Amino acid sequence: MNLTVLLYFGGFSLILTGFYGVLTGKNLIRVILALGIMEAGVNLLLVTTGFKPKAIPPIIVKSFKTLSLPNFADPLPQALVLTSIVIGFGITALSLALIVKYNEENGTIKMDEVENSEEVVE
Amino acid sequence: MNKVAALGVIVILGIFIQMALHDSNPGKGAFPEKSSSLVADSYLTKSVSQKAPAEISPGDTKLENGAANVVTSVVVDYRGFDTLGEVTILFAVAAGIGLFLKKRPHFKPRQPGTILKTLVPLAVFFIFITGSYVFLHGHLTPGGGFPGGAMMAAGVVLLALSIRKSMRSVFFKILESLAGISFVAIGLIGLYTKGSFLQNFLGAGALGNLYSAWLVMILYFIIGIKVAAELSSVIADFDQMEEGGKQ
Amino acid sequence: MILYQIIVLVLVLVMIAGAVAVVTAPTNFSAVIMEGVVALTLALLFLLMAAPDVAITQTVIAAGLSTAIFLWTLRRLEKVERKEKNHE
Repeated sequence: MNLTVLLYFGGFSLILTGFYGVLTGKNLIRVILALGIMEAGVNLLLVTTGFKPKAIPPIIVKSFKTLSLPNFADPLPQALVLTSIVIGFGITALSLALIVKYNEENGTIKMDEVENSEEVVE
Repeated sequence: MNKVAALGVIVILGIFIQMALHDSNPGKGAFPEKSSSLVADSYLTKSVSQKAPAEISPGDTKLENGAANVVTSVVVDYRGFDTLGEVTILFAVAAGIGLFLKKRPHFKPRQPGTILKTLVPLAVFFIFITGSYVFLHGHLTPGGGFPGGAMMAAGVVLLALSIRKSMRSVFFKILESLAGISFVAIGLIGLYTKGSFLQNFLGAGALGNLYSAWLVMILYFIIGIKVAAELSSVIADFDQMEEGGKQ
Repeated sequence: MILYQIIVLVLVLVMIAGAVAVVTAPTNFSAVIMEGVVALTLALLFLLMAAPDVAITQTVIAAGLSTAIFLWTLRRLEKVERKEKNHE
């Protein structure tokens, strides 16, 4: 069993599941949750690109020769994902604030109902 | 009907991804041979702008960057400008939420139970100590400013649930602006003394010591304070909107 | 090593099942809780993939604070819905 293939499979399944949720969600909270799932999948993919089997965390605790690096995991994708998680939280919080505002304006968090009521007004 | 169509789209996308992943042409596909030189290797051997030493061991003093945790050295030192942008995005989020969720005039907080009132100060004490430990040791152990600040914000969640006076997010916003200003000021000092923005002007120190990698340590302290203040201001805004609604 | 692979396999399967549960959950509340489960499983995976920094951040921010903010919003929305029902 190849671990890298398994992790790629997990990441892409999360992205596709989240995409399905975005396409079918009628409720704004569900759409935001599905976007969060997609984001988790992308983060998993990014970390997987820097992963080797039997990798060790990129923290220097023992001396090593720079010509023969030990089996460190790639620190660059990890640093990028660290940024991505924090920004994902910011996006979630801002969209939740927008949902609250939307709910105050329209009295609902479902998208279809508002479209239908606009048609009635016209 | 909608769901069937969406499922069809997902299946087609999945097939395309499968084909792209297992492309056997050279240079394509997801599983190429590992290339001989990665960007990260020069981060690991601390040789981005100077020649790599033959051997790196804990206690070395003349390295390019003294942080034992390589992820931290990438986040704060080599790619510090990225982090400045990220923190700016968080500032925009906190400001936007403060704009959308205004304080309600008839805000009457509900009183908490006895268990919350008694135990929360104790728990918050330990949470704050853990958070500050995590961001002060960011250059040695896993963690750093972002999770440390978020831990302190989690303590603020508990406080918001237990004290039930209306929390003011203005205090957090002032603290956060001060931290942001000092981040930029440290970058400008590097520009003035060493010639480029956010350059390490304080020296590397001995690898693995607590007092090493001075720039990383100070910047992560500032980032920790800033992230804690920003997330706390978001939480205070969400807490204020709880009661009330459109009258 | 085989134990390690089995743990990773189980975590990936739990994560995918949690993601499907988020999309198909009957109520918003259960969907939010399942999102927390997915985030926590992903944090464990990051820990096993030699990325402890990412694991800590994922645990605190995505599994902790994100879920808390979702629950705050849900409580607010439920209150509004209840008020509307009373008016009706």
